[in-house]
Amino acid sequence: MAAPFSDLDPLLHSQLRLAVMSLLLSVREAEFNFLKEKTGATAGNLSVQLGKLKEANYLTVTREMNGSYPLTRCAITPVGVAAFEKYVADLQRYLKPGG
Amino acid sequence: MEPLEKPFSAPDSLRLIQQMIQSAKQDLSDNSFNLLLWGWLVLAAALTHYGLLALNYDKPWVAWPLLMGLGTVASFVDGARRARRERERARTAQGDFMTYLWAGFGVLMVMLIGMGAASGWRLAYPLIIALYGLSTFATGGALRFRPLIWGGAACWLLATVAFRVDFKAQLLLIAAAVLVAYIVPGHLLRNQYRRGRTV
Repeated sequence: MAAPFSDLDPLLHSQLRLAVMSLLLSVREAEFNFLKEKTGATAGNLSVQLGKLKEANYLTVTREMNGSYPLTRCAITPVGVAAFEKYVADLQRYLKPGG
Repeated sequence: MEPLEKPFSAPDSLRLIQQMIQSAKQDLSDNSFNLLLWGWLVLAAALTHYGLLALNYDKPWVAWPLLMGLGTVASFVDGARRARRERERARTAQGDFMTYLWAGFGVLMVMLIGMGAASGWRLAYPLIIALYGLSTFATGGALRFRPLIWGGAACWLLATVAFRVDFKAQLLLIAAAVLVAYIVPGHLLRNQYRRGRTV
């Protein structure tokens, strides 16, 4: 089923990771709970997927304490923006008739 | 652990991207608070000043320090609340632009107030009206909200007129400026925000 999309970036061709990257493209920086709320993901799954995107250097993750509770802030990197743009261009090629 | 996901088609993918971008935009904060706060305070101060001048009161300017002091405190409280919310939610390029624009506005306003106190208000008032125009015009552009753009441009016309009239008439022009640049667009912006439309 995924065969026609085999050369789409596998890191981005996943619902949750793509949702996170789309959100981060629209803001400068977002907190973990903002991403969790907007994507409807569980905290565990979101953590795992953020880890994968971070490993690929698509985003940065900064942890800090805000009084007594921690804040985890994520921001997209230039590498992430370039990967996202390439992914959208690839998608558009697939959508073109005869493409 | 790979999440269990349904096969994901290209149109699904584009729909998701669009939905998420839209959803991030809808989280924009209500930007009308400061416009309405300062709009109503300046309107009240200018009209009180005008009224007290007509009554020959010996300190007709008394409403300015009182109301502007009140506005400064309210603005700082709101700013701190907003900064905390941004840290806990999301920071946008638009939000950063607004912070720098209005901080710069504040600095220039203090300079113009200093100029008014030192060398007379007749020259300072038209420049203050022009500064209202610049900040409102740029805010309107950033929010893509036309009433603010038109309100800002109207301030420049009022500022031009203000250079040519006496001090009493300048007070009415300041009141007109905040009405068209802050109060009317501020209420329109608040209504739009409450209806849940993105700007």
